[in-house]
Amino acid sequence: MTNEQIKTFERIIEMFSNQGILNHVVFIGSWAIYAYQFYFQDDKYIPEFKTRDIDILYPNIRKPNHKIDIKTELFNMGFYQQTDRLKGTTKFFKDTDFELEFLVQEKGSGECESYQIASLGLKAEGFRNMGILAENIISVLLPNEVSIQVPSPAALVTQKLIINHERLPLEKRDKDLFSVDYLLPYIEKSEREMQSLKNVYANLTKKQKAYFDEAAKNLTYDIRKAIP
Amino acid sequence: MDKKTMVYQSMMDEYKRNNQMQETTKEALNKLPKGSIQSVVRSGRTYYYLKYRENGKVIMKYIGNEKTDLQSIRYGIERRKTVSENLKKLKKEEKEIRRFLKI
Repeated sequence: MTNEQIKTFERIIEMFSNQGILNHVVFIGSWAIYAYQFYFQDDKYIPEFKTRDIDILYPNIRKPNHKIDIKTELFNMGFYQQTDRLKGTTKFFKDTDFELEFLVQEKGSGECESYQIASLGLKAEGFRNMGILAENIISVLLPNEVSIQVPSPAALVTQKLIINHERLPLEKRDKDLFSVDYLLPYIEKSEREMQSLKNVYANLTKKQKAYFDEAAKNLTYDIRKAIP
Repeated sequence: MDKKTMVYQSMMDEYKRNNQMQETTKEALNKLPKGSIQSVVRSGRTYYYLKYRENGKVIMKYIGNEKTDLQSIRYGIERRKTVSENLKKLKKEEKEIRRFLKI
């Protein structure tokens, strides 16, 4: 990723911090993988390619309890918003470099198409299996001296393995497995992350474990090293 | 190609990442048993061998008899297939990246 992209990302998190929502959001996807280099503190670690999407998980849509004009703030940074006509969800775009989206954890029967984040005045799309990410958060200090919340690497790989069977197009499945394979040796080096992986796995449902085990068969990394 | 573009730099990173992953995959592959398990019955007893090729020669390496638990070797052979497949995919990806980067 380029310095320009990183600068824009840092400006976004600084704005989130100033607006008081940074502690209410979790950066998932490729920017979490970018942040892991400062968590693992290993010079060999290279974050993966896809960095256009900034996926932001909003674990508690009732927080904070005051209004924040995030739309204007993002507009001032050069983002324009687009609302999905059918779902009513909002995405923010900046040139061709960024696509910023808020996501929430889908609960219950999952019939709700979108979820209102009252404080931000926008609707977000709900996704299943986000609980694993929201419940296993680490804080990572970035070079601009601002800490962001990201899922623990152990949680991220677990979630990627669980949802692997439903990823489309099919090429995304391989890509995700490569991503997991890349992260697992770094996880193995960290006692804390290895323990986290065991704990996250232990708390999965029977169905989730089955999906996890099936996807893990296709990894280069032998998952039995982590989960005997 | 302009080496300052975002895409070029990202692809360079991806190229390095791919090389790292190939190294890790090759290391994993070296630790796994290759070939297949062959059984030979002699004097009513079954003996198991790992049959594989090395420098053009067929090697039969004794691994145990009917009392031996071969589960871990079978698991290793299965894993080798998966890991070999992953290495092929990585090499294919590397080719595509090199074509893009013209290196």
